[in-house]
Amino acid sequence: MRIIDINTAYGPYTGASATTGSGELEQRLKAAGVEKAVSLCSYGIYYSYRDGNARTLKTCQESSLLMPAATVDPRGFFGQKELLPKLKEAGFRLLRFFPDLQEWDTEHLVFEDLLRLNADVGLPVMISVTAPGQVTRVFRIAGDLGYPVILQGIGYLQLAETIAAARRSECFMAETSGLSMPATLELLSGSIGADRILFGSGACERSVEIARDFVLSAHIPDGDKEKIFYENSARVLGV
Amino acid sequence: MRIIDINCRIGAIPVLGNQFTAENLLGSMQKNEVKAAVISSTISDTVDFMAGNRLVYQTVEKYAGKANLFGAVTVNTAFPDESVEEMRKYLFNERMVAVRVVADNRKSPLLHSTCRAIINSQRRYAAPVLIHAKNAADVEVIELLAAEFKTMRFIILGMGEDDWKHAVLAAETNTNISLELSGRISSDKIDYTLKTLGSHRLFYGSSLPYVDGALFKAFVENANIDDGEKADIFFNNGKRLLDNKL
Repeated sequence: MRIIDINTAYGPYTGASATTGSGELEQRLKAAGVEKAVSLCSYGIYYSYRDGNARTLKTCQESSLLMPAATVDPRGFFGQKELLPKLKEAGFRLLRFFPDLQEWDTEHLVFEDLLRLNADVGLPVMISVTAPGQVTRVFRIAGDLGYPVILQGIGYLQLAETIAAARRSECFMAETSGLSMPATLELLSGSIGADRILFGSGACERSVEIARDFVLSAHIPDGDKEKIFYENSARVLGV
Repeated sequence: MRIIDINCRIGAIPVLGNQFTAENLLGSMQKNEVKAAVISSTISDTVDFMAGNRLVYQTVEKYAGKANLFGAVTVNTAFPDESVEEMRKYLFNERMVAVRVVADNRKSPLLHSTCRAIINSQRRYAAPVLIHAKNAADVEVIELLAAEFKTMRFIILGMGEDDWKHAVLAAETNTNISLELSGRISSDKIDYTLKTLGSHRLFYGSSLPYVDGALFKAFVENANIDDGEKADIFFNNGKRLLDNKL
């Protein structure tokens, strides 16, 4: 089965070693049979999004497997309208946000500004949502902006909120790396349809094989698994 | 008055990304009469302590003989093996004068177990240990380490921030703990510290580039202490830390 992994990262704090790099990530992805992966350097999360985006782009330009995800930290964004168009032009396939790791709230006005600015750019957006209420807050801003919004890291406690948001807006989708409870993928797929679920592993920090096998072992049709593993991401990313 | 700053950094300001280079630091030092500085890197604070150490080492080497820049080797409690290797790699150099311990990505609390593993490996080096304490809980971890490793010198950076009195009391109990005064600017902080510890165990640090280089200088200058005590804080204590390498 062909696989696109929409949620990977490399660099410090993405693995057990301080030097976990893109080479190690690629090895793990290849070993798990992943054909393409969207990735970013952890410098963009923890240090500076400008520095991190530059590193990510350089790494992905030298890789046949990795596609670049950009990130912007709202705490360091001062309204430069040209930023998002430039990121798209540079070849970034996805725009990621990390409110939990960076400790800002999805009520952040600048986050809202960024999501609204992206309406003219149309980059798919992926947002880490691990706390109650985050999905709702994201939905209230981006529910009608017209581009794909992927909710990343949802666990069983965010399932109801995710399903409610996805039922209200066709743009809302779910990523799989936070799912681990039995029957949750089946519930999600039955509620919002397999067309709106995207495979993500969370590698290097998390095991690609375990994330893959969780989807493989779900009680859903093989055609739905193909959508989750490959077709949905290919459509969203323009692969 | 001459000043030695034992707590400043170079590198991009986290989140904003604006570079604070060695040249920027030297400009601030000149403006504020700082004669020498012990530097680390903002990269080490946030994401990559090994890359930060490389930057610090390259910088102190580049300015050897031109400016009084000294380096602190940053070790990270999340990566004990790599941290030991970093100390082995850099502490042979006489301009790398201290070890600075950070916990994970700096927001994490200090944990005694992980700090202990690194400190235990650091015993072979004479360099003092700089540890930023964010609160009383972090200070307590440093107290435990100081009590166990009595021959080592610990300097609490930031004085436990809001819990600075706790840091003063920890230093009163443990003579191998000294304090660096950045952190909270409380009107009675310097006076209280000197009454409890004397002026020989309080070091000057600016926290550049997170804080303007003039701020903590003014804090000491405006304190109600005599010139000899100010000279200890600003210069004499730092000079001892540098083993008279100036």
